[in-house]
Amino acid sequence: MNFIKESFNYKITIIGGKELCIEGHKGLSHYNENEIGVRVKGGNITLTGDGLYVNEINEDELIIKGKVSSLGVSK
Amino acid sequence: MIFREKIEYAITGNVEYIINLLAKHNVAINRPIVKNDRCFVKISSNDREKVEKILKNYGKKFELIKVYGKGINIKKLAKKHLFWVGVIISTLAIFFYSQTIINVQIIGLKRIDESTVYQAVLSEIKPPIYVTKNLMNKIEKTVMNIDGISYVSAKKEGRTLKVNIVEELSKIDKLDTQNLISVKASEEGMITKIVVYGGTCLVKVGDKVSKGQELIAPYHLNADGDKKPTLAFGKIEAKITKEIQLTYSNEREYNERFLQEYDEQTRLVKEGLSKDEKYLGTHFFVKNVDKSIVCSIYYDIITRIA
Repeated sequence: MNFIKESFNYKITIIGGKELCIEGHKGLSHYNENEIGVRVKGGNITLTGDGLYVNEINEDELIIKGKVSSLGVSK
Repeated sequence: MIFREKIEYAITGNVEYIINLLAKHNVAINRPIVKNDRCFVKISSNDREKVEKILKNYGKKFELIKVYGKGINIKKLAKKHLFWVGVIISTLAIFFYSQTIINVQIIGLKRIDESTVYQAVLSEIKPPIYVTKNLMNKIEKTVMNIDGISYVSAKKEGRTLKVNIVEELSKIDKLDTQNLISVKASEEGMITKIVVYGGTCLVKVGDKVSKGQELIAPYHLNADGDKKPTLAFGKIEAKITKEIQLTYSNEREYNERFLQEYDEQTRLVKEGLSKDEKYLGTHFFVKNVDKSIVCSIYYDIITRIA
């Protein structure tokens, strides 16, 4: 765990709008190719776009690929 | 397992729930796809038992769809193909055995002690050993560090490592244009082999030369026919004849004694030859000189005369 994750519970990295990595996730809240909801500590992250899919998921890290058009964080 | 297998399952139920369930149990999932209320997930074959146990415990219906990539299990393979595994292992063993160095041969030394070079080589390798190119380069570098060596080349020939060495020119070998010395014959004989490194050779194979005769002149001729001073340096071998005389006073008994001494002398001559010398044959003459018998034995030997 790095400093950011320790301080803010989770970390989001977006690479070129086509790949998104969330460290410290708490699972998926909803999943389809246009919208993916990810639970994080203290809220929810909603991703919208086209052809979204979970490329890899494990206990701590989640990699989402596809065309990401928006990212919303709600409490 | 050499290659990892991937296993695809179709799991019935809520997609998010299935993904979260597996992720929570630290199962890595690749690209889950949703089709007709079924979630298709790919997992590593290592997690197979774990995944099936989790799904059963949580009452999820699942179906094994496909196994991707053939994993190779060494133990299973060995049991199934014991004969071929044996053949491959023994072939590899024979290959490495045939490539293993057991001898080290040092070539080209004149002034430097051979044991010094051996020690340098053996500091890098301890035969029997499989010598790689890198190791040979290391050997070359180590031997190059010995004083008086100007070039080293190590190569493998069969199971022998041949280390070719060129020594630096000694002070005597270095060209002194004021006092050029020609190469002269140390003994009388017939030339059998000529190797000239420098200078002009004045004789040819088959020539009879006398002791002290000039063999290699300390110059070379350029295109204009001018003599350019150079170091006369070469190796000349010749067939020489060594003579041993045996004298007997008693004519009656000499025959038996001579035969004994002839065998003994021949043995001594053969044993006294160096590595570079070669014994060719012998012949003898017997003659009467003032009531005694003089037996002359001649030994033909090829030796280096310059």
